[in-house]
Amino acid sequence: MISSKFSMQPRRAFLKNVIRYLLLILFCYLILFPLVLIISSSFKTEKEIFSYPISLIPENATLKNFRALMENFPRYIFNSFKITISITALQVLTATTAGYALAKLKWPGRGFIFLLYVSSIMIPFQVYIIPQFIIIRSLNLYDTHLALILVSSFTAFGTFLVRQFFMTIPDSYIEAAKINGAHHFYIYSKIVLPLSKPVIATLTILSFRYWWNDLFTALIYIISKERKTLPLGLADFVSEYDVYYGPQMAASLIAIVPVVVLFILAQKYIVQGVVGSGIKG
Amino acid sequence: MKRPQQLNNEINTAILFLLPSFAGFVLFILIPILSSFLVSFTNYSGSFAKIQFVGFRNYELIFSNTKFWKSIYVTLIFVASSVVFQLFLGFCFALILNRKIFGKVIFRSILFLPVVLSSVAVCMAFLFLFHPTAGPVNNFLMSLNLEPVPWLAHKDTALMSIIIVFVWQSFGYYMIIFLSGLQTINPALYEVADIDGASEFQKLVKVTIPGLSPVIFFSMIIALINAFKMFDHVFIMTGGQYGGGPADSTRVLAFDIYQNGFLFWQIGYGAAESVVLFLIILAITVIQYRFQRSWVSYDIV
Amino acid sequence: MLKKNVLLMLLFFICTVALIAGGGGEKAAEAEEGPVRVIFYLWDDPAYPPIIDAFNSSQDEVFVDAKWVSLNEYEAQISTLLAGGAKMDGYMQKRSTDIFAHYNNGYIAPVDGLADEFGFDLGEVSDYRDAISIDGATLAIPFRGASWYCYYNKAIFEKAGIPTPDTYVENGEWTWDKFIEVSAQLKEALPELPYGSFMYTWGSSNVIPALQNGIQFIDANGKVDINDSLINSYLYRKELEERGLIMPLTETKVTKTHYSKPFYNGETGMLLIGSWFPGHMLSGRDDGLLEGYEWGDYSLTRLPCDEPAYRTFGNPTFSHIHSKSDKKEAMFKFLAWMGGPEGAKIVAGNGLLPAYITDEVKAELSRILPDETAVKYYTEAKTVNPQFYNKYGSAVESELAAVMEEYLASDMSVSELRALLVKRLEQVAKQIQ
Repeated sequence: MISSKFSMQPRRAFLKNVIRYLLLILFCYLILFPLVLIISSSFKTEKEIFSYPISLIPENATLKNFRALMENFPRYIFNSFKITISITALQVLTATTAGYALAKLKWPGRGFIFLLYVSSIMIPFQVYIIPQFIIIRSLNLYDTHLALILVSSFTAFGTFLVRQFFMTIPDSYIEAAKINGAHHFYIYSKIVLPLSKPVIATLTILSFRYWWNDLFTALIYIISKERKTLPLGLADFVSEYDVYYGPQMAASLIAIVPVVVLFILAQKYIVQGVVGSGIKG
Repeated sequence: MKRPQQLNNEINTAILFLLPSFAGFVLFILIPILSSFLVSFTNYSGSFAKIQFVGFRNYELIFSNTKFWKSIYVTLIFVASSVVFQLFLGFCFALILNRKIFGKVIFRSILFLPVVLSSVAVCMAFLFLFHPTAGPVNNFLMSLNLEPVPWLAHKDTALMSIIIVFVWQSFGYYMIIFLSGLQTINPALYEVADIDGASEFQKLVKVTIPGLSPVIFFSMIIALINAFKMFDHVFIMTGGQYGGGPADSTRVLAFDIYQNGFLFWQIGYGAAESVVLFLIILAITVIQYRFQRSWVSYDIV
Repeated sequence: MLKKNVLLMLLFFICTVALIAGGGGEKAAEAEEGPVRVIFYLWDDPAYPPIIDAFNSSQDEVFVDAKWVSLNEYEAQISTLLAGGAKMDGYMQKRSTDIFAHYNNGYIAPVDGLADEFGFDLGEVSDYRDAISIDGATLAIPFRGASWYCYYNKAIFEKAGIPTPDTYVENGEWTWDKFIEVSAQLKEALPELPYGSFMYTWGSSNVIPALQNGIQFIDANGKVDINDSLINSYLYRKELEERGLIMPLTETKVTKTHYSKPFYNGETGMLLIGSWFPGHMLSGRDDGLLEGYEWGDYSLTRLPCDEPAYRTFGNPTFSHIHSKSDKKEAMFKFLAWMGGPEGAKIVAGNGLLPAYITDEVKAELSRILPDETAVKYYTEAKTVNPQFYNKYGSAVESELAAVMEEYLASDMSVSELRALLVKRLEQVAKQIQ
């Protein structure tokens, strides 16, 4: 029994390994190719972009595309940073406070509220976007950054992540602090939060990534050019007059870079966040 | 049992802690959801002065409208295909990367990379790639003497193009989830299987998949919900507010709702459609939860 | 205790909301001196900034604060702005049939009173009266006229050795079949020419024969009203596409090819598009985008037409005063200027057909049109059918475009096409009240 297995193994195992590597390389190529295309097209003239076979290194590298963006994009980038950072900070605040209440405090209706939060993940924004828009209008917040920041202040997913994490902090810490006369706010800020650096990091990164890339909310709430965010600016690029691929690719590159940098630096936390959401739903 | 005073204090504190998050939730999510439900019974189309209660009329209109049924059809096809492909690819690559592979971390990072990218940027890159006459993909096919594919320009291939982009962007996410799930499976189970003389395939079916089943279940739920919500890709790749693909072939329900509500002012109608969308998602999720008993095993040690 | 705290929470919540509402609301009160500042929304057509600037610098009573909205999303965004109660004094209407919906929702202020007060003679734009009034109330001031033409590249026709379209117009032969035939002749004579002719993706550009015929599609009572002219529209386009004479509709849409591009590049012999195109040609000339021919080598003539008497179509471009504006007079001054002789000159100078035609305007037009033929056909008196002109209009245009895409991609028979059109139009009639 054992000997027959061993005699088959080396050849078949080798073949299987080859297939594995081939698949990996193939898919990595499929993933990297569009990205490399974005990078190289950003530096090409319009004509060269369409020449085939595709040259990875542009023959006449040009910064013309980026210059075309100079008029509006610095503004868009600034807006995106401003909004994304505000939202991320606010989300960390609301997720940790709500998470604390849901994980460490006991009160009637706790389970129900948690269920409410989690099930709201299931609801597509189209369901509530129109009435939400009406509410924003009644608050006179249409076409403001504040509108975007407020409607995203609450994150069901983030709260869920944080709450799960807080549940892993032993109750004994809390009890010990309480016996020593600490009130909950102290416990929250001085004990629980410092212990939660991993989940906060994860939340920060996931939030940043999501809101940096958000198109739809901005599409609905922002109209004036000065307030546009980067995704809107990108989407805007297809003017009726022509599709200028060069500047479009340059703009896409700009949109991608911050998040990729974030990803490279903080991969561990992103993966953790993904994983944390995946186990035992 | 806590003394009443203590209990009260806990509740007060809880309220204060919960407030920042809950205020936003109530005002911007809960109330809109309820209002949407209410608005779907009116003919609201932009002016509060003229609003009228119309009962189930919007629902009658929806269910007798060809575009709506086309949307349902397109949405279901999109959701089914994209979820299957995402999970399948995620699963395959999780299996592959769960071994000693040279450059494992690099491969894993690259495959996950699209997940963090902006949908808009990705869609634009693919618009260029899929350009029917001048795009690199078609040029490549033609250089191999194959027929160029119309991609987004033809009703038979447009939806497929969007599925490709969507799956490209998200399978890495599930790959990571499955990878970590694989690592929780007790290696002893594999050893036992080996001793019993199980083939690779049998090990896969009898050990890996059951061990992974909670993760697969959870991924299915998330993937389905995300697929039903998909909007950005259709919007960018099929023409913005006038999109929906050649001959409505990419008109997912999420897009129809946007168009009816924001372009044609039929807000009551759009709200009714969104209620239907929500009910579909709810039904599918509930059904999944019911069925999990039959195949998901939580207690494999 | 519990109740008290819930109340406290509620109070806190309400205060926060009120604070935000107050903070996010109105900006500080405007200064009393200086010109009256009016907020005007419009889309970012390159021809418009000069008009706004000219007005602002020509007087200092009114200052127009133009809010530019992206051209692509204008229809959806202006709807949102209006429904959202955004502060504005006036706005330009991009989809003319939306005038019905906007009026119903109470966004538009009638201008009759103001016209009398300021002595603006609405009679001068009476050609477009129907397009700007509902139930006898005049709701807008047009500043751009409407008409569609057949633009053609003389250099290409010369190279192909075939007569230019205006020859056929002179002989009364310029029908749609002739149009298709000429497209084919061009391609036959010049195999490297990508397209004999070009039509765009809008619903309107694809049902021109029907618009020329004047059918309503859905009449004001909600009944479907179509005839063979509509069916023919679909048949003509399909024939053009099947014979490779025109860029396919879906390809045009997906590659987002603007109608100016093939014409600039000398890739098409003819182009059917509206009266604003000479403005594009001016830009094309100034930016050096014309390939293989000079600016003077293009001209324009009538659209092909199957009707016994020549008909063209189009809706004027007009602007409204917002009903909630508290600066209606100032807004009116601007609109009257833009739609009157002064504005008309600038509009003409930018290559657009103004609504208000005077001799001065004609002189301007001669400057910006390439030759005599062009001036003749551009300014001749003609019957202009309004397009999609009732409350169903916007949805109808979109449905017709969707059916066109379906039809082109399938093997539908004529009777199936007819049935599909009737069905889709009936659904629109039911849906829009």
